[in-house]
Amino acid sequence: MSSRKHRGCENMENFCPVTRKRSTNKNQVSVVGALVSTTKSSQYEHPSSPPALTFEALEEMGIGMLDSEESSSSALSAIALAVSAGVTSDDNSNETTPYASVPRMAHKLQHTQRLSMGATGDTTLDIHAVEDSLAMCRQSAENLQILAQTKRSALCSEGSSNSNSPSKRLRNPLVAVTCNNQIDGTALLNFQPSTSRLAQGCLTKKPSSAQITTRMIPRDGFFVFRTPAMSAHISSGINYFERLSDEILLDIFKWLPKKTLLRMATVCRRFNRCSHDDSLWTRLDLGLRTIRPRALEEIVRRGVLVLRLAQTSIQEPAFAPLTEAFTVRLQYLDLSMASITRSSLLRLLSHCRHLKKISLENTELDDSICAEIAKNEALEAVNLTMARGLTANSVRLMMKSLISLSSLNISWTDLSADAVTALVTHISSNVIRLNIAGCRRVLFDSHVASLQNRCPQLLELDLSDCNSLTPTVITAIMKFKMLEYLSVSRCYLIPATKFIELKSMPSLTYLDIFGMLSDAAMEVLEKQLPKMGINKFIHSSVSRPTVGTRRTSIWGLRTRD
Amino acid sequence: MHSKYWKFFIKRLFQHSLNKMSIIATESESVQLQTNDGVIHTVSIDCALQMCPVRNMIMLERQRNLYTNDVIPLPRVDAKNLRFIIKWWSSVQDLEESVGTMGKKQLIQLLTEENASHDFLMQVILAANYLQMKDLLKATTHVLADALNECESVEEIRKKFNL
Repeated sequence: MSSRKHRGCENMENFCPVTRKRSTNKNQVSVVGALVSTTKSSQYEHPSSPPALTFEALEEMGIGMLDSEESSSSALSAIALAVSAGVTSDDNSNETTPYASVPRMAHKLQHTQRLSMGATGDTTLDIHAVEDSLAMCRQSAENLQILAQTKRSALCSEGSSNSNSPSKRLRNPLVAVTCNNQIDGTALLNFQPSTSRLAQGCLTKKPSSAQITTRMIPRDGFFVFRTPAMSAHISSGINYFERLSDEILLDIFKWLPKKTLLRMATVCRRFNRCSHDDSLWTRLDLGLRTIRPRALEEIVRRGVLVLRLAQTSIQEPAFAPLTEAFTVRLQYLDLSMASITRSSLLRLLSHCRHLKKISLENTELDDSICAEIAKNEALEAVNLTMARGLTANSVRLMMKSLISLSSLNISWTDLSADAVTALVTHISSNVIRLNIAGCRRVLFDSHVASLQNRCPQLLELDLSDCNSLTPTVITAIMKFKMLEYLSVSRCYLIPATKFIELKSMPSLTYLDIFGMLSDAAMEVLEKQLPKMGINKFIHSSVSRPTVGTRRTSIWGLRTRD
Repeated sequence: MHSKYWKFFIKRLFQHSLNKMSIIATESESVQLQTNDGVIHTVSIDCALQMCPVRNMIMLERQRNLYTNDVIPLPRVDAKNLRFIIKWWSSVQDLEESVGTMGKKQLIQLLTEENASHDFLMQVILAANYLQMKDLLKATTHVLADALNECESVEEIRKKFNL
């Protein structure tokens, strides 16, 4: 091992990848060999991976190459270091450049790892493969610094990495320097330390990166990752965790709170890999917090299914520019009262295609955002209360494509007359709960009539504050055969006497008519409608994620596990 | 006649109410298990049936109406671990409450009695994994997770567990 290092030293003074290429041409090394030894010395519990790796890697060699030629990256050059360092005798005849092969290997490593892990996300495994190769090179302080920076950048940029082009992920040394500075300020979640157990991965990465930028001289604490030789020197005992399989490790991690889970990710590579497993990150509650730039991207890339971001403020830029398309698994998203810019919201929603329930209460929307919402055809519940920026076009688009929609709350959104018409003309017939309160002067009886035509099975209808409704609307409402809840609060044009007609609706159980009758009149009405629950609900609960005082669940789903 | 009894038996097994088995199985005998260091343990049948490999073997035997009294080998379990597991199981059985809550406490108690190290705990985890005893696995992993949780810093974890 030491001899390897020495040989590597003399070749690699600078890190220019071009020189790298030229000089390493002669070392058609077993990058394979290098990596294999890495895997063997690493702590992975993959008995089958080294042979699988080499075989697949060899297969890969002949196949087309990554665009590693273009990308200049310190990690690649570092890998080249590894390549030259590991001058072993078994020279496999590979025409391909070592660079490309190593990231490819990384890809393969990731594959084998993925297989043995079961369902794990793409992004996490790359880092480890990269780190593996990085671990090979330990020659000079200078090398190490840059390596560490790359690792940091790789770690921190895991959110923006993509398994399909591993080479692109690695950045050139200069970028690594600036990237590091960037990273210090970005992708860090600012959380109130004492109160909650939740934090984001970047936070735990911050201390180590801070370490790196301040100390340029290698010291004992400088090495964030260790070579096997170093480990053997430092730790004297047997590592019992080695015997446990990854699944058992996952079982152990399942008990840990998120904050500890993140700390685990920094303990060793294997823990890092396991703690990033998707099954541990299905639910996340980040309500009332401030999310630093880029953190949101990492959050959604972890594979979160249930995400509560109520009242969070999401700082710009929430997504790294120019990331390739990745699909986010998010299904239940609560962004009520979140402060998020339109562009971030657009980016976020452009990746979501599996949403089932979404709440965008009090957020700013525009046509493109609504178009993205519309693309989630599995949406069942949409809450757009007090959202700003809805136009007739966006309403029409959404209504037309959201055919599985069952509950919609579009109250107080300042809809125009056109928008309301679009709404009632195109609304899906599966809707059973609808809240269009607050459409002052734009909602007319005719709209209710066409609504009745479209959705005869409506169970819950809230028409509060639509003060253009006249007594004839009651006739239209009577046609809803299954209606259980009706609210026409503050529709001042409807006289009290009309409500007595509602008696003939067998299914109607609750009637809300706040602000319409005097107490005396109310008493009379109550006598007339003995079985009706009158004025029982002040707040509508249609599509609302959190109703009442429940705060740790959205739409009945736990947000903390 | 045995097969009739056995069909009952299988039904119960699948209902996970293994406690009832001791009532049904009139042949409430004990089973002999041999661990990988050659020691032969005699365990009562309801304890043995908790362990999946043993259970599968017994079920296979009974299905085919072979009644051998051979020793069942457990190649992946040590004698010490098996004794510990049996002790845990019997102590959990005695309690009336759910295994989930009490299992862990019992486990901690037993572990401190033995002055067990983390190594021992991990061996128990591996044994529980091999024997597919879910409750024991849950309890042991919970204990280990607590140990991980308690460590203040990453360095401490590394030192403690020699990572």
